[in-house]
Amino acid sequence: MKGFLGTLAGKSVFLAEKLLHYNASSFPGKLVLKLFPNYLKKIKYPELVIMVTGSCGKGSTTSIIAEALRAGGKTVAHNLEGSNLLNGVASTVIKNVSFSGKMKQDVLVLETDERYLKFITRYIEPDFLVINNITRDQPPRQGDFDIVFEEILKAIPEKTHLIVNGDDPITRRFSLYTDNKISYFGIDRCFMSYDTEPDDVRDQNYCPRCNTRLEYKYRHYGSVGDFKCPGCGFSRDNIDYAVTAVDPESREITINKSQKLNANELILFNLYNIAAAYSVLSLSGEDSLKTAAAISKTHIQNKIYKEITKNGRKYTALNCKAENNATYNLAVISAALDKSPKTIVLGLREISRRYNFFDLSWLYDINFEMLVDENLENVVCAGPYRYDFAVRMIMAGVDKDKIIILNDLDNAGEVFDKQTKGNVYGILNFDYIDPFINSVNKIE
Amino acid sequence: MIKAAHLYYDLLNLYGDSGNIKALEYHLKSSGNEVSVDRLKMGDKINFSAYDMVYIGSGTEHNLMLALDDIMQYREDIITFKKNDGILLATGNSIELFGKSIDKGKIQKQALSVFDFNVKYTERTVKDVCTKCSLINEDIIGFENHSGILSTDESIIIDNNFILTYIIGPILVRNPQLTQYFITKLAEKKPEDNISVTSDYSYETEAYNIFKQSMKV
Repeated sequence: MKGFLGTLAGKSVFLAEKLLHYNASSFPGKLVLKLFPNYLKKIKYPELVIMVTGSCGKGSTTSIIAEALRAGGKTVAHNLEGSNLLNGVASTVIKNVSFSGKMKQDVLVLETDERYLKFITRYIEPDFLVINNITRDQPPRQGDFDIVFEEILKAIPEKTHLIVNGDDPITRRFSLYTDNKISYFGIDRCFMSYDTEPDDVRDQNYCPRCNTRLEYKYRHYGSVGDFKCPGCGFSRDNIDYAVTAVDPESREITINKSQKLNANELILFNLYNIAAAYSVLSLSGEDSLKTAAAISKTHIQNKIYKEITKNGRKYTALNCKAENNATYNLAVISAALDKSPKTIVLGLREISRRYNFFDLSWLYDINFEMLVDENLENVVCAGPYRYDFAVRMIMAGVDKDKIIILNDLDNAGEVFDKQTKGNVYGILNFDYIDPFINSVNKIE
Repeated sequence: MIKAAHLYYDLLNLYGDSGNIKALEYHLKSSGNEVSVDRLKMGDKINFSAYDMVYIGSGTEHNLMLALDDIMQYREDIITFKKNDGILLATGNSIELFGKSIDKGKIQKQALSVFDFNVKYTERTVKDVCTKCSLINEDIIGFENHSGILSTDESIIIDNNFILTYIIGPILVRNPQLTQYFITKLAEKKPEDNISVTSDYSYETEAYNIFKQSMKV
């Protein structure tokens, strides 16, 4: 009865919001959970429930999974990006549940915040939990990666099958602390892999089991790569779903040496997201050929980068997250692979939309040194932290006279066009992507 | 030749700590001085008497405890280093290593006892900092993010040439006057090296001023 009343209340709010053209995705859930705290316990969920959590890419991975399932003919309930706390999840349930308390869809796919997962799994037990990665991310809010690991660990229900990034010694740690079934995805050595040098900042340098320093055959970013502990053997092995080949020209990737699919964007995060999505779809019994075709066609893969050509020069916007060095490092690796003359654009408007702190320490966890060679023509630093970026690049070895300082990106197109050389890479916080693209589009 | 050491550089590396070594190296070299930096790991033999300056940064609680277990063997060496005017900068939670004890509730640990304070773990402290400091004329700016609190009220603890602060990350990048202070100290310690202190801090100073302005709003 309370389930019914909750659904009624929630759906009424959705209707009212619709009539008033008001859109607050988590509000119906918030209201219903306030009135009926156990509402989510009363619901009959679909046969298959998939959750995705981690520091980066959980929204994209969730969307790839949901789109591919739909392409395979399944009906899917799926929370929109950002509504990944308990109230947002409750709103998604209310929207998709019938008055009898049963969800109508074949599958429920949820993006879940890494620290709120424990509140969500209290009510909804996923069949599969995908853990993409755990990186340093928004430390004022999240604490450090060890804290995030502990929070996720607390949230894992006994019977849930974990699907975990097997290249990451931090996510690999779950195997030391749970008896859950675990499957691993990973990426074999490819053109984006690099050797153990440079000795840049890594989250997990030492074995979580015996504290011996980890050794690597190759690395992908931070401590993610083909690692092995010489002390106890803790290592990246038994990858169930490995990206075994990546073709930089055709952008085709191969999973387990046989299944080919189109990756669209060759940024390692995107490849990890695809491998994660492919793993969970295969394990839940989807046809692998259809899954590959569906993933190849998903449109949400265009979030990480955009390319524009103006006056014969290529402009690439690489989407990063402030206070998250992994996103920046992958952008840096991607720009560094271009061995022709180039210009780098750096900047951001706000360090965080969520809080008013101004921590800049993370700038020194990014391996900007990788960009500094004879091909680096100019660096443009823009926005309120323009001098902080400029100092960072000077410390990385860039000559001061190669650096152009701009208050913002409003009329930056002309500066790029007239004062800089080579291909232009905007390694930018997400709030500077649109200003960058707009300024490039204005170039005549 | 200035000799510096970055202790546990791959263990206590949580908040851009390497920025301090970069700033020191850059400004020493750009004004024509010779400098070498040893980046030391857990298990390496640390010969404190070989260094003019030592830096240590912040880590996760787990990594800090690993560093504590390793550094305890050097207690006497560190006390001698301090007595002999050795320069040490500790940022973030690494300062906890230098007090008497760390109380984590369930676990109590003895620390180096180079300083008199005790540490107790409570709620996390997260804040921007702008504070006076007797070493320089300008305020020191930075950011704090730590779980421990000290049994002393000082925000920057100074004794002889040991400087300890909960401020995390690249404090020397963000406070050009503090870098100049350390380089001047190094010059005093090694008059035979004729250390030049003239380096270009203009962009650091611009960044510093913009931050100070934004704190006022």
